[in-house]
Amino acid sequence: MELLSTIVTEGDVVDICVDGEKVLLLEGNGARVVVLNSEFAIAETIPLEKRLVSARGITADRYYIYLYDDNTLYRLAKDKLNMSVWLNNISVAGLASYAPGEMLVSDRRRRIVWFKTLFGESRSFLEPVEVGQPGEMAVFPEGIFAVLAAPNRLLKVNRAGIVVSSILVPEGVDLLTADKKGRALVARRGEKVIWLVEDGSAKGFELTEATDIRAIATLEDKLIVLDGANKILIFFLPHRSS
Amino acid sequence: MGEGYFLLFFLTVAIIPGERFQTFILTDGISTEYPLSQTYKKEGIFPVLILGTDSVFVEEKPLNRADFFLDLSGDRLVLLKRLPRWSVVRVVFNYIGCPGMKQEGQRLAVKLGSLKEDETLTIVQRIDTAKLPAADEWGISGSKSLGFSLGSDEGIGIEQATRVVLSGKVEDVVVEAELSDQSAPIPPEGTTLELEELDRIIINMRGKGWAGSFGDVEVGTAAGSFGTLKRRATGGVVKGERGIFSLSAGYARPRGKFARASFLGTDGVQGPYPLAPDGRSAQLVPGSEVVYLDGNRLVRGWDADYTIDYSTGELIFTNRHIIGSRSRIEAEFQYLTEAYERSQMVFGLGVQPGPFQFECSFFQEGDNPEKFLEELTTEEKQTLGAIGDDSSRAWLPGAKYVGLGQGDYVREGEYYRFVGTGKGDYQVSFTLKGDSLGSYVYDDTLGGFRYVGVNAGNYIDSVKVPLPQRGEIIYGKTGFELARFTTTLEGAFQRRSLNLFAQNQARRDAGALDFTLGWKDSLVAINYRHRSCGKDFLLPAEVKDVDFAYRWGGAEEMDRQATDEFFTRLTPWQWLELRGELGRLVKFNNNIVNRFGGGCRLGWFWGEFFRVNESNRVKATLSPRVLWVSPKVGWEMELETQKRVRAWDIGGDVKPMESFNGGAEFRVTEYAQPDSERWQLINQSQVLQVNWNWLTKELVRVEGLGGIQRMDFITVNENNWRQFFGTLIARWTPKRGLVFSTAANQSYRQVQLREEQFRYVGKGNGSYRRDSITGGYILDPKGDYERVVVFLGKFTAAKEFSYNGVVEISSFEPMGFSGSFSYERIGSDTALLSEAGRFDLRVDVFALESFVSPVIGFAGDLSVDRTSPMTGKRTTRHQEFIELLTTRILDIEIRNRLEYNAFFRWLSLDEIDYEERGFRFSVTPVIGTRWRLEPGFSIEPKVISQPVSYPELGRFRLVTLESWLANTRVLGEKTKLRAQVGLKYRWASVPYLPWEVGLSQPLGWTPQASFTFEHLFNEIFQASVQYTFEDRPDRSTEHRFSFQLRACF
Repeated sequence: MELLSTIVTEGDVVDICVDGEKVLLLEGNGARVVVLNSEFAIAETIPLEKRLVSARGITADRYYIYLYDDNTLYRLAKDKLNMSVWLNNISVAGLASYAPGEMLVSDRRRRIVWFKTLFGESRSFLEPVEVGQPGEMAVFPEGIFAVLAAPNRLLKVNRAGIVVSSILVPEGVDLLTADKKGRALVARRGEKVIWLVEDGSAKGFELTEATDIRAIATLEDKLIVLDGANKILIFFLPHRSS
Repeated sequence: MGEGYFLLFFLTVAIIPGERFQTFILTDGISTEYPLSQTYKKEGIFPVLILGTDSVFVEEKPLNRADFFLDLSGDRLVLLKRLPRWSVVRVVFNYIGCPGMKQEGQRLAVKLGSLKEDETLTIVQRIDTAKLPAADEWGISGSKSLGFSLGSDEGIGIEQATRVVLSGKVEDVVVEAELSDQSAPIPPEGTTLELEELDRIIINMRGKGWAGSFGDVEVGTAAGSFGTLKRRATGGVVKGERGIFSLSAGYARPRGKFARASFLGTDGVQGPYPLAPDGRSAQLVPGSEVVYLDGNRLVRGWDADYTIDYSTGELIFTNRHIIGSRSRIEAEFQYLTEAYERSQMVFGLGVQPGPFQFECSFFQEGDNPEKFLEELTTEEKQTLGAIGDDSSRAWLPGAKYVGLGQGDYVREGEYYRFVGTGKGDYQVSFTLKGDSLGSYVYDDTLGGFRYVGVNAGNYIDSVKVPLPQRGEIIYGKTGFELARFTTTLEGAFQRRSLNLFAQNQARRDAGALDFTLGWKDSLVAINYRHRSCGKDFLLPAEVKDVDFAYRWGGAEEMDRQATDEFFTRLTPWQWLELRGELGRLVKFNNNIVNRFGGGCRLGWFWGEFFRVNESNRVKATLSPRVLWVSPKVGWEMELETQKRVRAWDIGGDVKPMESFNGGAEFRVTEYAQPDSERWQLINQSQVLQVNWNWLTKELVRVEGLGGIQRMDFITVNENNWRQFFGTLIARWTPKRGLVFSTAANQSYRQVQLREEQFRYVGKGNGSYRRDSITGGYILDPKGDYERVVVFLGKFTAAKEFSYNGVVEISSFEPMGFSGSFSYERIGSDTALLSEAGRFDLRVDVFALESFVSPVIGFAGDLSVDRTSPMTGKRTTRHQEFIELLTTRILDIEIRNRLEYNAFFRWLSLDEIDYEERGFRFSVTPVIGTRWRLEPGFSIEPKVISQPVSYPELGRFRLVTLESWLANTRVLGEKTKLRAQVGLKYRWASVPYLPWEVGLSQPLGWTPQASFTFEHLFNEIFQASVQYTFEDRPDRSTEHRFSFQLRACF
């Protein structure tokens, strides 16, 4: 993959996500979200009203930014910046946006994927019997979602919660994202290889510039990689093989 | 190879900073967009700008970076302010030619090096979610869902949700629209606020020279030196620009009403300082507040300057700023009021011919007196109209005769007596007045208000009616700016109608005139400003004259009849700067405030002197920098005829290494009053504050601040006090898979006392149920009462302490360990006010993963809130569990869980009402690889100690048995069915259960069933059907059927 840019951050970053044309960075001290614009320059910093002691992850949809630590999922309204608890007593393994204001939440402890709807209630989307050990989640085009279901399985699920395909992925991968062409990218935390899953086969790319992949996300034709806690690498994604 | 490429990349962008390009442009005085010469472009090469290397010089003076941007992909320079005609503009930048990259599309940029510290701290309060992308084709996306639910209890309910995002271009007009609308019966977890958050319409349109926004917008206008009038509202704004003309117009319904608060802090109290018109509580429009401390604007955030609770308006400062009695706090905010329907209108016109500028705007906002929250009778309106602008008399009787058996109160002479819901003939509204100012008190055993005698209670049976008001403002400005010389003349006329019920609407007209004249270059800056105001002139705007009272010796802005101010700055050399100012304020009572003073910066030294009438202020600071040490010494004095304040501080900052910086400050402030011969020391305050930040890559992070604040009273008979405050954040990551993280915080604040009131709202319509034996109220979604919290405006001093931590050990092969805890306590000197905590420990055993995965865990929590005596009772619980998940053995996967639970409910801090202890064992196998049947079984025996509220029950046992069978079937890729049937049985060794236990755990058989059907018709349409059944022994049989059709496009 072709490296486009490198950004070194002053503070530790624990997770990244893409929000429209922006990239959001969750700082490790759990006190701020840094927003990079599409040119990867700092656009703004969002102070959080409540500090996340062990900040874990971030994702966003049109209305909200979702943040979680080891036990709680929070929701922060973008235009009002008020932060409220959305789910208590949950160990979030992954999130995927079902619709604005509605999320699929992968619950590591209960081994279930919840559909957290607009009005706040939760209902099960994938039962333990279907998903086994749910992990990271991603959104694919045309109403398809993906969840890492076991150390070497990627399940693609439609809007009704029906598993439409189960794809073998490299053992132990725990990071997942998808691009707009419907390709999955998976990686194992702490390593430097990204696997591009396309048409049922996985192709590995060793990111020589990276040493310790912590999080991945895609923005249009670019792959954004959090390497270690302070480095953001931006690559051009390879063209589709077919 | 990888490291080599990486090094090469950095060498390319860091050591060899690309190619340098320079071009010149001559401005025409009108355009703000100029093409760059394309000579730097080559075939197949895409230029990537190196950020930070671009500069624009106007007449060889650098242009502020905020006033331009370079768009290399569009080959243009965009100026964000109009430059005078024939200005010579030089554009310089470095770029890298990147082969093979696309030239179209968005601009790419290479960021050099690391983010600067100040960039990370640049805080902007909002995200612009309404960014308008250029679009050539129409695109539509969104979803629409329609559903209904039918329940044997709640009846029929219809819910719908619509979300449409539309973007496209028609006739050179770019449109992006977002429509969102939800309606549904509000479930227990949802709140009205959440629904409001998502009901929105945003339409952005942009044509050549004009742009418009409709929906949830910020509507307002700038009124120059008088401030900025803007509101968060629902409406529309259109702005246009053609040549030298600009036009804007808008109409909206504001979400809140503007208010301003200005007060001094209290020694040793970080908050809460309520931002509320009544001084108790108000719901604020989130993000609408602007807070200043000692004239400096603050930033909201846990690790910044303050936090605010928008639901109550309570403002609390963080430990970064220790609040004292000299702290000058100012805030502007918008609070929600639903008394009247409000509307707002703005109109603006601007002309900018050459160096001249003319602006004119009109702003109107007001209430609609015909649209009051409750309908007012003609007599009531006449009564309110007769009081003119005296809002203190705007009271109406709270009692209304509603007919026999329709009300809750009966009239007995001059007062009203609560007789029970639907048993009286009056409905009465009460208002909190304050201790010994009313005749009634709220009686929670009655569930209503009780008459206790004149001035013996705190409520009255009247209601305060806000008077409908309207305000109009006309603002005009003309100015001239040529090279270094500027002059502006501004005028504003304000009409306030303080009571629209009154015959002349209680009008007050006022105007103001502001004139400035200035000259500025790199050596000298001179400014003169004059302002004349009519009586009562004060715009409801974010003002620019922050700290007005301090600068003018305690005068308020409303006192200003005229001010004249003269400012000068002289910077002959870089190490020398001289400032001076002279001012005169004429008040409406003809008193005059004179102010003069100045300052001098001489290298590391800064000194200033000001005299405002009889008050003198002197300040001197020495802050040298020697290598990595920046010591600081300061002294200041404020001298008035009856008061002297002296303060000195010593401290400094150090940065001995890249990974560490710290600082310390010790400040002593003395307050004195004149005695017969000399100044007598009254009290002395001392604050020692230390901060540090140590960050060693990812290994260690230790940051925080701490200190002590103490107050010694020398001649006043008060108790001396001292307070320790601090914040510590630490994280240690010795190796991958090992994380230790903790945070602790202690600060001093106050807690506002509250009263919980429970109002009967009809059977099954509330969220609380009342226990007829204990008189308590217990949360029940099908209850009969609603809870209302009334803030009493009384505060008690408190100390807030919190700590939390996380431990993760996942680097050892045989097992992983994770744990977290949090604890927060707020207490006064003598008593606990609230306490909350939780812990969670888990051990995952990986060693046996091939056939079984055991998990062992411990968890617990506690909570108590003594400021809410009804609902804040102390509860504690803990749980230990072991979970075993087997891999498939003989086509069966089994998940077993054994847990021990203990739950304690307390009557008070040291008296337990009752406790529950017991086990729960569950087994949930999955049988068959094809059928995947999910049978399940659980048993839960427990023992409940003798409840204090139900002593006749004694100690008893409660056993729950539960079994179920579930199965999920998928038909093709489009249909999913899930069915579950179950049966629960509860048995107790007593004939009935304590009311609260019985509410959640009724005795007897409870059959349950559910069925879910999901079907995807195609990529767009899907339908879901759900049926649930439950037959609790203590309720009628419940059937609930729901259907939802959803389209995602």
